[in-house]
Amino acid sequence: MVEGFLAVGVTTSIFVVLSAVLLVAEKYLADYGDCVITINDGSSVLEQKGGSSLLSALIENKVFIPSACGGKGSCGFCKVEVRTGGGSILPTETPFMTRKEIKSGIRLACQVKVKQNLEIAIPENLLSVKEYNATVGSELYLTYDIKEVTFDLIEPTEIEQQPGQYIQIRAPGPDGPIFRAYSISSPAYEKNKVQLMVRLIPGGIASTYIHGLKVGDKVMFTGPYGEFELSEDEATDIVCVGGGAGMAPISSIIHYVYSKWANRRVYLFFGCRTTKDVFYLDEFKKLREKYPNFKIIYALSDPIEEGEEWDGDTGFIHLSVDKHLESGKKSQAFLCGPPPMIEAVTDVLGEKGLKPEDIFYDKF
Amino acid sequence: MAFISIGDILDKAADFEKALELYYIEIRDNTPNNGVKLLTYYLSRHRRHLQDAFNNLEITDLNNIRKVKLKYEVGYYFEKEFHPMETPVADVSGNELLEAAVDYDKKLISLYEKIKNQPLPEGTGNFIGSLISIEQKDIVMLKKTMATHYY
Repeated sequence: MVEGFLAVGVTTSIFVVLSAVLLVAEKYLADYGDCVITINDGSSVLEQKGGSSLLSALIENKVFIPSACGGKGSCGFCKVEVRTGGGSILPTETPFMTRKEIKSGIRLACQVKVKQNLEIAIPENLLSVKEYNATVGSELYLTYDIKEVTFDLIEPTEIEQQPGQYIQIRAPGPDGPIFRAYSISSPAYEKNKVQLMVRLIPGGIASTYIHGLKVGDKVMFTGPYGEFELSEDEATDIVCVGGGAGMAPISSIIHYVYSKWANRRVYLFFGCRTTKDVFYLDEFKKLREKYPNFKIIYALSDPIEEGEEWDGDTGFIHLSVDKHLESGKKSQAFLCGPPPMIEAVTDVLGEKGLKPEDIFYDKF
Repeated sequence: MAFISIGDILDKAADFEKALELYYIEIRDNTPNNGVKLLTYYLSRHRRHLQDAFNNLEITDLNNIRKVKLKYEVGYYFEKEFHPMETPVADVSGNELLEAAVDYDKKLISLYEKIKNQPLPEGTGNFIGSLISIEQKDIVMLKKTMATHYY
């Protein structure tokens, strides 16, 4: 037994030492020279000294692709199609991929090392993602743990965004800057500012940073990201379902829809636990006075306490969707909330006749 | 039980996933808390991590990985490591359920890391690495769900 443990210990130590030697040797001895990264068949060509990750190389050249974990391979956001020069897929990548993606050369940019010329493909809209410098214009606590923060843009001064898109804000992390994705809550027609809703996650690096920001503080972010799928057909109902900070993209979608189609039917389903978690209800009720086809359903999942006033629904939000949404209507649904909520709502929407391609969600 | 091959471990891990699903059903049948009921559905669905990992493999590759013999005993006993929560099933809260799910993921990571530290063929090492990543990804999702305080 002791010999067994000793053998495992010795083998492990040898592997650790060898790995360290290889890493040091690669850092100081390997010279990959200058490499060329060709994007989308030559629509953009970058020259880059070899040795860094593809993600770092792209960022250095101001090509911003989504990445939330700062290149640690734990978010799975930085997917690109690597056509040539990327080597074999790594085990750190496969959990984030479908078999189809693996076969079609999709890789995590943070895990691909630039060692030779590369040919890659990324969605064309990512080439227009920019880096923004801004200051905090306002901050407001919507609930005890959700903060609304507005950034006034400094450089560039305007942003072209679509409802439902998101930015990636830079926050100081223990091992250097990290980027975290947050949906934009401000309407697309407000071009000089970007507003977010951020829930404080205990121990969360970015949420703690954002909750600590004060008016006048400088921030940096990249964006906007995300493909926008809202149907332009006014006869298609819009169903928005959210919980907590998941209100952000939904708020943006609702304001956008009513800036274009005054008579369009929009359902807002918002689930939270208690009246302490409710926000924006009065603002939305004012909006409904102007747009009568706007249906607002808030639901509390905890029992109402004695003496509390509540005229909304009670129970989980998927039950409210089931209760209020008509079946068989032509609809598109946008969901943002915790994964169990998204799954429960998706099941209900399926029973109501929505096809999977008409349901868009963001499991935050 | 001494694990002889990767196949032994995968079988045991699959048994564990099935046992957890049954445990979640037991909680669901006994809890008066609708949030907990909802969570048990979600957790059952997402407890099929092995299947997620297998989906990225060709059958022949999986069979080859299963046959790989372990050089050293991993000293790991599912029966000892995995046990139900101390709280009676009818009283389990949503947060406890999520915390326990994180704990199960961490225990599996610890097992897979013990295997990964052994000398293994490259493909097998990669596969075990992907199992670790699946568990890590699940932990992130569970912690985010906990932070919403919705259940």
